Amino acid sequence: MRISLLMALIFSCKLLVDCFAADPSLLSDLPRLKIRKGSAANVAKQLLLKRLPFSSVYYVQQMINKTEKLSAEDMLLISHAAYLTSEDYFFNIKQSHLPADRGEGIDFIMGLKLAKLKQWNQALSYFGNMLIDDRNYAEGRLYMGSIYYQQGKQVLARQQFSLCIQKAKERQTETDDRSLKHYYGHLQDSCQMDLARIAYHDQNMNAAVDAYDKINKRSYRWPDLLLEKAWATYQMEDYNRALGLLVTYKSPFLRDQIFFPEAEVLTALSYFRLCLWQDTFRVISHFYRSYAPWVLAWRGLLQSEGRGSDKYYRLVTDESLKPEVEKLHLATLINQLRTEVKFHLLLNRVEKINYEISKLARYRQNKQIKRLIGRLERLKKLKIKAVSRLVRNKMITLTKELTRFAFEMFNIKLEMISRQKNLIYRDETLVADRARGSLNFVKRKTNQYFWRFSGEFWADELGDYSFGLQSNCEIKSKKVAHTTRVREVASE
Amino acid sequence: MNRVYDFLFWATITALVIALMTPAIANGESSKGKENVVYKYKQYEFIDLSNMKVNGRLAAPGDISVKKRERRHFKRQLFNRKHFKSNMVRDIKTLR
Repeated sequence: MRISLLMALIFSCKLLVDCFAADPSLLSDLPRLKIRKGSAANVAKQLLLKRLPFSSVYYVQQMINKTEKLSAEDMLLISHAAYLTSEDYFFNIKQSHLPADRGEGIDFIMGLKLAKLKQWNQALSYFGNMLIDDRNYAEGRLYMGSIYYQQGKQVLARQQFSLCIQKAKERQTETDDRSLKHYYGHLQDSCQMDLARIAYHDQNMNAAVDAYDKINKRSYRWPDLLLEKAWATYQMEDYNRALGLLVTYKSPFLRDQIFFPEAEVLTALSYFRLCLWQDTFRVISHFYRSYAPWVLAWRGLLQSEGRGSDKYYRLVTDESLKPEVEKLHLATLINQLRTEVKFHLLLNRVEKINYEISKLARYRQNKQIKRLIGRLERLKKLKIKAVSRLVRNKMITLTKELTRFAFEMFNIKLEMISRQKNLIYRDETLVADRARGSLNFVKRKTNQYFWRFSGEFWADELGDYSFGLQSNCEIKSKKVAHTTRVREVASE
Repeated sequence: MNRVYDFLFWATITALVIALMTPAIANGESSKGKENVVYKYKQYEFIDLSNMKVNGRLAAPGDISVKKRERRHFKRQLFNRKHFKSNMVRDIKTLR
């Protein structure tokens, strides 16, 4: 009897040792993550309650794939998970899954999905069905307005943008959350800018300038609007104001933050319209001298690092690669990317996933936890690839723009040479002996003040500059000038 | 009869000798009279074309004259921004 008891004790001890050897976490003092087994929806709910939204994504996707008709509860779960993570995780919802009466957030997800697939009319119907209390209502109106504008329905577009501004304003005042306040402010300014763009398209430049003026200087959209406003003033033939607006990009505040090749072209064009050939030449030669090395460096990087490369992500996030960033002339591009919402959101999600991984690592490790961490690592990789893609696409866009605008600059140069040649053939010259600038040529509105510029950029003055250059386009004949001088000499 | 034949024979011989001798005598005479001939051309000649009249008609109709006109100036299509559609699309793409 004793021997058999001893044998049983030895056997059970060996079994216990084997168990601990197989899973050492059983010995640790770490807390256990208690997730009861059940349906995908049930597991997703538990994970959401434990504040692990990115871990719940897989289960919500499973639920969508398995369910033929989504219930109100399921839709609420999807909406909540999308709010905490990202809408694009749930693009596997099919139209057949949805009942006629849809919950908050679902129409927005469907609208986004169809807009990305460029199925505009279907996207419009989903955005149009959004409830007025939906937290994404203003953004839905922004999408609708943009789609209508692309379809040439400007009246409808204007209505949608106005609704967007109104709703975003209401939401901004209601919420106390700082990031939400930023979000609604951004939407409001974007819709306001789109209203100005419609006025510009309708050749109503005064209305366009007024619409741009409604956007606060503190807005993230403000640096973008300077160029568009400069175009509006250029169309009104107020070239001095256009030059003044564009010179804001040269201020220390924006010089290393924003880069628009188009702004350089508009500067050259404004000088050209004022017949200031030397200034135009200066801008054109500066354009070629400054940006040719950028294009060469970017082309080299794009050829060496393909689509799937994570190098672009590392260039943006890794501080140790700063010398390489400088060498590749990427600093301004990265700074400009940081002002974009999508870039900010993607980096934010990578951070959140990292946080969730570290949170799961604090629990006692078992198969379930390891599986969750594995899935999170995959999600993180996808987001990193999305950031890399965004940086790469930005580089491609700017390279194309620089090449295109280099051609436009060349065109301006040719036109200028042609005009100078014509003057020589006609034995004429431009009136070039007048003073360079004067206050008489500054066009001012009643709400605009005058301050003399003495080489210093003041924050409150940014965006309100105007040059005082007189047009040099008056032509005088060289022959007349010569005879007049002779007469003068003769009379003396 | 024989006399006649002799006469004809001698007459023929004489005629041949004379015929052969004549160019030699002519050459001998020309070599004696060789001189340096200098041709002189007019250095300047005025031709009044205004008074010239050409009678006849044009074989091919057409105006070959060039009229005086202003130089034609070809304007280049300089860059101009007509709308901001692409900017609107860019805004949407960079939102989410």
